[in-house]
Amino acid sequence: VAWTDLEALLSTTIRASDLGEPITYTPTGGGAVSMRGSFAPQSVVVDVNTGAAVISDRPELGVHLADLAAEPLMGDSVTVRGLLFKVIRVEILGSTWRILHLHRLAS
Amino acid sequence: VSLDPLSALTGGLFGGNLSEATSGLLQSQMHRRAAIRKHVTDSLRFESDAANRIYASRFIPLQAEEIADIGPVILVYTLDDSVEDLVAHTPPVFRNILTVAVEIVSSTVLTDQQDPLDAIAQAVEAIVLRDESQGGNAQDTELSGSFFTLSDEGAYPVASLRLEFAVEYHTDAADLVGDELGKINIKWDLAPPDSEIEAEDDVVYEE
Repeated sequence: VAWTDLEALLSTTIRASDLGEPITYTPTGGGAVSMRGSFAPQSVVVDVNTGAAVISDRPELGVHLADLAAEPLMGDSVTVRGLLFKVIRVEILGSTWRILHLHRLAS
Repeated sequence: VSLDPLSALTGGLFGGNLSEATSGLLQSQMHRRAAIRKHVTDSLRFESDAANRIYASRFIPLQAEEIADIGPVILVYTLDDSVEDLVAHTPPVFRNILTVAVEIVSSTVLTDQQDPLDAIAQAVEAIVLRDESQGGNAQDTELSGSFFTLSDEGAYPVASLRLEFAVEYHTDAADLVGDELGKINIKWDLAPPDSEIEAEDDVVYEE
């Protein structure tokens, strides 16, 4: 099995499994797309030079490029678990996955 | 077992004679810092609309999501407390410069949080500087610096604006160590010195 075929198989399996969940992705100026992504919020200590620690949930969403018409961009929006987010940063993960750092928007 | 106030306050760290000997020093300094901190906190609580969002403790972590719901919060705490002698004072007078930090922390969907924080800072400065004696506990209060920090690490942008106030207060050495001089014993070894005491006297101070 070629590596690219194996990677494609793994990506499909991940999205279809419990690691993936339904999301709605809306590129800036484009139409909404229903797809699956891997949503993984985690608690982080936000360093804003304060005397007390500030803790927040850092929402991250893994998406596969095959599900999108174009590369995800900062400013795109996404709905996960009924909550609306804005993409504030895009990280490249391999050749086909992107990790999106999100900020909550008023729903 | 009943503890004296200082032992109770320090969890028994200072007890018995040591507590008695140092109680003036420790209680005076702790009380003055605490009094200034309390006055600043109370002033902000009573004179602003942020009464239940002002925290005088740094031990409880703030939740960015909660701040996004309820609005900006304010932290009050003290940092450095430098001490120097004031010359030409008998008994000596110590001049303390206490740094009081007032931090405004906000977390909203707004990416530009500097303007709202500056508006809050302006109100905080007016309240804190209105009484430069901090309830009669200090000689002077000045704003010594403002520090703005922004992070996009969490679910919302989180911003903080820390205002640092330099609060000057004075402490008499007599208040710290107690003026309990009651008697001086004087011995004269007349020249040439030979370790033989030729005269001796007691000088007794009456209150």
